[in-house]
Amino acid sequence: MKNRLKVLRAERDWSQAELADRLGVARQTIVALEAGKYAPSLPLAFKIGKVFSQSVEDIFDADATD
Amino acid sequence: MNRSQQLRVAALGLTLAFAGTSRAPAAALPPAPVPAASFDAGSLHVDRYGSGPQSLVLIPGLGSGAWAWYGTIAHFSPTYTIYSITLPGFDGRPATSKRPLFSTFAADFWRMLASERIASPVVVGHSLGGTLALLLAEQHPERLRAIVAVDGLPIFPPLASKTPQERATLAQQAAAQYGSLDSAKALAYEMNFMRTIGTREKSLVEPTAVLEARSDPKAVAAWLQEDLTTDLRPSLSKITIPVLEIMPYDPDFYASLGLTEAQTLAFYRSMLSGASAAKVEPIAPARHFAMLDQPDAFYALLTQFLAETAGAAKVL
Repeated sequence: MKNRLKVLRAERDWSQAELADRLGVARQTIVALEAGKYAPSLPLAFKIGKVFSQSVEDIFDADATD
Repeated sequence: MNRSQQLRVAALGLTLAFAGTSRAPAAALPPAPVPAASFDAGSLHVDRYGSGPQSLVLIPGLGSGAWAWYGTIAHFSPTYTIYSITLPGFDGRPATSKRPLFSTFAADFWRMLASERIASPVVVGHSLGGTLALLLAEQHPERLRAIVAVDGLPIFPPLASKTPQERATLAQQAAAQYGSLDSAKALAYEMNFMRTIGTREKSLVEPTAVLEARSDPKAVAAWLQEDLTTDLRPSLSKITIPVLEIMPYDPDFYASLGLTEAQTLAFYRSMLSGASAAKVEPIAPARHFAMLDQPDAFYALLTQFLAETAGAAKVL
């Protein structure tokens, strides 16, 4: 599933570890999400939206895959 | 890893004084999915979920039950057929008098594959379940597609450098101690275990400990004794299929033992060095129940491994 996580993270100058810490998840989760190899669970998708103050559909594109 | 670090790893299994910490928001145990079918296969109880050409067989750890996989089942059952095993004596199921438990398990498992016509499943085990998955892969790698062990190794890590005689003595002592617990003391033990070693999520400690305490202490003791005396390392070379070992690493916990993630990773790799197609992937921060502490990271690793190991035989 394609997403804008890497861009949003870069805009804020956050490392993968920092984003993982803000979301309360393992850094391996961020690595997998940014590689587009994994669709997040619904609670995590909402948490990501909250952290970036954006809607889930503005971050994730459910119709596109890598 | 030097001897003092090995001793500190050993302390993992023995230290029960560490108070859990968690920065993550409170998590709840996922709700129980509804099985499509439930049946007994010899000493094993099996719940089947979902549909899909590829089968996953889930084996929980010592004293644990299908509840440890509820989130995993919900996540993967839309695309996989899942068989969730409950071992005899655990989670309210009747114990078995057959011994040895490991070979009884394996015989019942192979009969289940034949009777249910389960072809080339991926076996996913947690802790003791991971050790049992390694045992299956040593016996008949040709009948399995791949295996995944979540913090389950070919030998109980704290005893890795002990002699067989030392392990037998320690196993007997540990089993006698656990087997003598009444239900209240077993619950207290499990609360302590989950708080210190099991999970980083404070909200999961009590519900998981209550579920663990549903297991028969005498059955847990018998499984523990066999687990502590088992050493699958000499036959790891028979495992010709892919193996994914998931290593939970919690800096908050391991820092007190002076172990870095790299040192812990090196130890896990050394334990599996005999299996040619084994790889170790860390999940951090997480404790023993990594699939509960970091479900998204676990699902991501499992999704990727399943994609990597999906062979030509897979029916699409």
